[in-house]
Parts: sequence; C-alpha cells; structure tokens
Amino acid sequence: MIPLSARPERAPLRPAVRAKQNGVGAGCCDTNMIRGQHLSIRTADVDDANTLHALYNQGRPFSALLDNNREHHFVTRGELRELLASPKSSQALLNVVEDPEGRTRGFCSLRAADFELRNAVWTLMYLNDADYASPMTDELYLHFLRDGFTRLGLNKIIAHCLDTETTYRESLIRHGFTTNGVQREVTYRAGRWLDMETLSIYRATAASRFTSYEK
Amino acid sequence: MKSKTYLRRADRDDLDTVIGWMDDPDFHYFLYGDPARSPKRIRDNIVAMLGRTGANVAPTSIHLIADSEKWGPVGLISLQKISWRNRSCTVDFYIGRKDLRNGIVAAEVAFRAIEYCFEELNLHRITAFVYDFNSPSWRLLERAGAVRELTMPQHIKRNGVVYDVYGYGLLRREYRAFRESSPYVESLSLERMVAEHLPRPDEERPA
Repeated sequence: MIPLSARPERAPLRPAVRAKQNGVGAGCCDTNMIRGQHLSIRTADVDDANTLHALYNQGRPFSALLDNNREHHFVTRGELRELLASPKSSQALLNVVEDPEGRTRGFCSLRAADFELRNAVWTLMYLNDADYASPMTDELYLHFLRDGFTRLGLNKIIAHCLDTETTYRESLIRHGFTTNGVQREVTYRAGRWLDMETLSIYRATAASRFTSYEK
Repeated sequence: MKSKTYLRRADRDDLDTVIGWMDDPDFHYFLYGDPARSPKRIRDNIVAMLGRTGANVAPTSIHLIADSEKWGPVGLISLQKISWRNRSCTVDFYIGRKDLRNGIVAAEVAFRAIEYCFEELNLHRITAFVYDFNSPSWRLLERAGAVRELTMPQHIKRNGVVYDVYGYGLLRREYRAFRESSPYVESLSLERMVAEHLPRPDEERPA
C-alpha cells in the first residue's frame, strides 16, 4: 500500500535542465516532469532514441514494440530520433520512466483506442525485467490509473502482453487488470509462435483500489 | 453437393453494388472496424482496393466479392492486417443481400473466406472479431472450428447501446481437422470452384 504522502506530484511547468544520460545528447529542457518517491515520469524526447533502440534489440519480445500486424521490426536510431522529434508522433504519447537517480528504466504510454467509449491502451516495458515487481512500478500504475480514470475520464484501459512477458503480466494482475482471453500463435519470433493475452481494467475497479491506497 | 458460391476479385462493374452495401447502415453496424477510423475512410480504402488493376505481391489487405450463380454478387470478403511474417490476417465477411444472411449462402461465403485464407494464402492463423449481438456470424465461425479466444466486455457502441466483442481465432491445424471431419465441406472444394466458375482464357467473359 502506497501512503498518500508518496503520491507523485506534478512538477510546476518550468524548464529544468536534465543531466546527460549515458553520455548521449546535451542537456535539454523538460517542461513536464512528474516526480514521485520512487520514480520520475517525463515525455520522451530525441535523446531517448538510444535507450529505446536498446529495447528493440534486446532480444526479448515486447508486445509494446509490435506494430498493428503484430510484427516486430528492426529500427535504426535515426528512425527513432525522427519519430521522437516529430511533434505529432509518439513523443506526445511515450513516457520515460526514470529512477530517483535520473536513470532511464523503461518506457510507458497510455494511448486512446476508442474515443466514443473512452477506452485506452496501456503499454509498459523495462530494460530490466526485475523492475516490474518494484515499488517504482506500483507508483507508476497508481499515477497512470488515477490520471486516466479521473482526469482523462476513461472507462476502460486495455493492455496486451505476450506469453513471454510473465513479469509484466504479473504487474498488470497485481494492479487490478483481469484477463479477456488469449489469442493463440499471433506472432512468430525467435523460432516459435507466441500467444498474446488481452487484459483490461475498468474505472469502477480502479476507483476501489484508489480508495484502498488512500486509507 | 455442388458449390454455387465462389470468390473473385471485384470488377469496375461491381463498384455500384459494393458502394450500395457500404452505404447501408448495417455495414457499419455489423462489422468490427478500427474505432479510430471513420466509416468514410474505411469505405475509401475498400473502393481504392477494388479499383487496383494489378495484384500486389504482398498486400496487407485483400477485398473479394462473394458471387453466386443464382444470386449474383452476394457479399464482400475483407482480409485485413495481413502479416506475411506471422502468416495471419483478420477476416470480415459481409452479406450484402439481406435476404441471404441467415441461410446456406452465408455459410458458404464464410467457408469460402476461410478456405481462401488457408488454401490459397497459406496462412497459419485467421482472426475474426464479432459483436455479441451478431450471433449468426459467431455461430458460423464456431461451426467452422474457430475458438472464442477473447471476450471484451463493453467494447463497442452501436445505436447508443454498448456491446461486448468476441475475438475468434482459427489455426491451420484446426481448419484441417474441420475439413477432414465434415464430408459436406469436401464437396465445396476450392479446386472445383476454380474449375467450374472462372472462365478459361479462350472463353468470353460472362456478361
């Protein structure tokens, strides 16, 4: 249970110089960063292309990196920089999860899926598989679920995970997602077929969890 | 039993028929489409596909007309999100002739679509999304051996009412098992369809 005092606080909207990460890129201005006890969340920018590229080439399949046809593609750093630099692209949708020391731990997003029914799709991927079970992840889910169901007025949040993403699936279940079923053998990777599970959480379910968090 | 329903590419002459089907409110009502894409965009995509003269080597979507000896064009088959790496696609079939939706013709069209995916495109898996109120469609899929893999509650809204959506999946081995188990299906062979219904090069095309 996360105490109320540990709720991520939204930083005031002023430029903040971010230190170099991994020796790549100059300091840039963050105009929107959310800081909590165990993490910081900020929108992705061009300097994150290297880290994002590392996820593509890690060898572990991520459901978040599959396209609409459930295919995995090799992308170059240049393509990712171009994508992150475009104001209409994933930059506005992709968030970076950092630890308190400012190191990038992973990426997450909450993207609209159905405007009429106010459904959205959640994705999360970490460089280190163990982070899915950390207090950082608990705080991350608390923030995005609360933000999605209250400020954004969502009704349902959907998530997909491959059968290899067991720790990701456990984090979804732990934070209230329930399974809608498994699509069998939807993608072929590393010599075998992978299943994809769809999970979802509704506003009512999430609201009861927020209440328990605030007790 | 001799099959009387077959699939073919659309000609220019079919454009009016297909547009008529897509202008029917039932087209949007029954078909699962990307909620982020407008019905107009879906229609434009289908019309653009119908107008292409050459066959794309590896298209990501294929639209075919379901034709019938007795009734003429009866419906539209849409194979979308075709992944040649994953050998999979999403299947939609729409029976434009309302009077034929609950009969044998609808079943034949569905089977033709499934057969085309596995026997011609050599796919490994097909997916279909059906709304829970469209019981004739999902019953057809289940009879063909498809498995209801997903149940997405409160996932689509039609005419102000929210419905569930079912996701069905049919794998190649399940399709083969279905074919081998059903003597009726054997009579609807694709080879026979090609042999009996498509004109030979030296024949005049039917009017």
